[in-house]
Amino acid sequence: MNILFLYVIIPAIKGIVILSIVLFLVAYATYIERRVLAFMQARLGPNLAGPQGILQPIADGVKLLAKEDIIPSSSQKFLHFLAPILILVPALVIFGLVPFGDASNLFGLLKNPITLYITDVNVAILLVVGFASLGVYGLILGGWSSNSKYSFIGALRSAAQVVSYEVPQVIAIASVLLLSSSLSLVKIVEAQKEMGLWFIFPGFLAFFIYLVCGIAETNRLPFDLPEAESELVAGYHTEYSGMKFAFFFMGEYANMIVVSSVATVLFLGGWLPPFPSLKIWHSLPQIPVFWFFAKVLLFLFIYIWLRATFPRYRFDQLMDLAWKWLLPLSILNLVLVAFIKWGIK
Amino acid sequence: MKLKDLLLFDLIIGLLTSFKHIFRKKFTVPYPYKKLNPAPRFRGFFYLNPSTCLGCNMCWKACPIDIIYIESHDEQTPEGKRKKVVDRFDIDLQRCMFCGLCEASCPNGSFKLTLKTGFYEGAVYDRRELWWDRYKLQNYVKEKKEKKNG
Repeated sequence: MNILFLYVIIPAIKGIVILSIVLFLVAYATYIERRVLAFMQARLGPNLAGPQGILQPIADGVKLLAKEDIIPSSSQKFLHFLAPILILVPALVIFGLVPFGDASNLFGLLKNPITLYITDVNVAILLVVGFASLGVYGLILGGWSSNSKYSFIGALRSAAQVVSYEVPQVIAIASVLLLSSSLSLVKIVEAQKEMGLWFIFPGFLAFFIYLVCGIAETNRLPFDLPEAESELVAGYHTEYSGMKFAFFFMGEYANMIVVSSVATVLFLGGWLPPFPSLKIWHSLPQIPVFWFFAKVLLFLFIYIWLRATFPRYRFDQLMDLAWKWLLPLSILNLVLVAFIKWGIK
Repeated sequence: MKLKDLLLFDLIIGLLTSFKHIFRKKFTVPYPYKKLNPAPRFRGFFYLNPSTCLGCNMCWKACPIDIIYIESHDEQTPEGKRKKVVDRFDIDLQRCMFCGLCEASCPNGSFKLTLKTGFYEGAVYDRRELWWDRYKLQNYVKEKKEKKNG
């Protein structure tokens, strides 16, 4: 009974809660994006559904549910159906590994404190990177099975882009692993607590590389070549409509939140406040996941900010950036961090 | 490559510029709730006072696409003068291009056929509603404006 409770029921409840929070965040990321982007372009954005347009994601969801699901007659029907699932599910799986907060009794609601994450796997970061790169199969299958030239070119571009940018990204992550001496996401946060400093300060270069690669991997502007509207209509999801399109859309935003969460854990100290060794934080009220979500939202804002500012890269420039700049830079950074670590010891 | 380029100064300047725009005044006018006033010379929908219309057919002659239809008959006034009375004054607004030549050609002072009503919300569900007879020409814009003012 006790084992059932510990290993089945509690994780299931946690999973449902985290899934609903993440899907809520995904829905509202679209609203925040449209609104912030509009403000940066001196427009108003969606402001009619509810006060300040706050119900817009719900209206969008109902609309997409009611839309006709068009399947191209010459498409590979099963893969066409499978692709949107393949892009959303790996992104959601990663949230099972992300530590949202430390052990907490949720304002005294519970007798014994529970940890605010589902699992603490000792190779969590490898799993995160692996699942994040699984998402690209969804894009490729979606592009190929649609049997449309725009989708196919979009899928090819996306594959090339994700494979290229994964290399410097993983090397940038490796420098964090050197600093923390652990692959577990929880231990990485705890290492930052011991150090009294977020890893962004010793590893700013790694953070920068991770940021650029994260944007490129989620196919967002300025690296959104797989869905470049002016060339490829909508890229890999040109032939999708209705709820399948919504899955692609949700997958993109879920991936953004994954990149933001992982960046928060690796570089911005997870659930820790800024400069966690300061005494002032003990006197303030402790809200369990406040700092984590504040940082994730900040990171999402940076995503939108970059989108509003920069024009799209050309494809050769994109590849130049990955292989000629970010890869050497990340290796240099890794060597530097290794020397710093050795020097401290 | 210069150091300035390596430190990505241009990108940071761009980011700051777009950040400043968040607090800028928005250009969007949320139309049905807020409306812009048209410029004084804006050509809106028609207004005609049929009681002061002379029936001179000048607008009918001026119209380059012949969408004005006028019919009239002569009547004796008590002073024994001849006076034209307008029976029909129709404008087919489906085809009107709002060139204003009819307005320019109208000789009858301040009560003339005019487009400067400032009224532009003339969308209708049935295109037959865009055939305006003389009663509509007289009342439509006035009624709509009264409705708008409560």
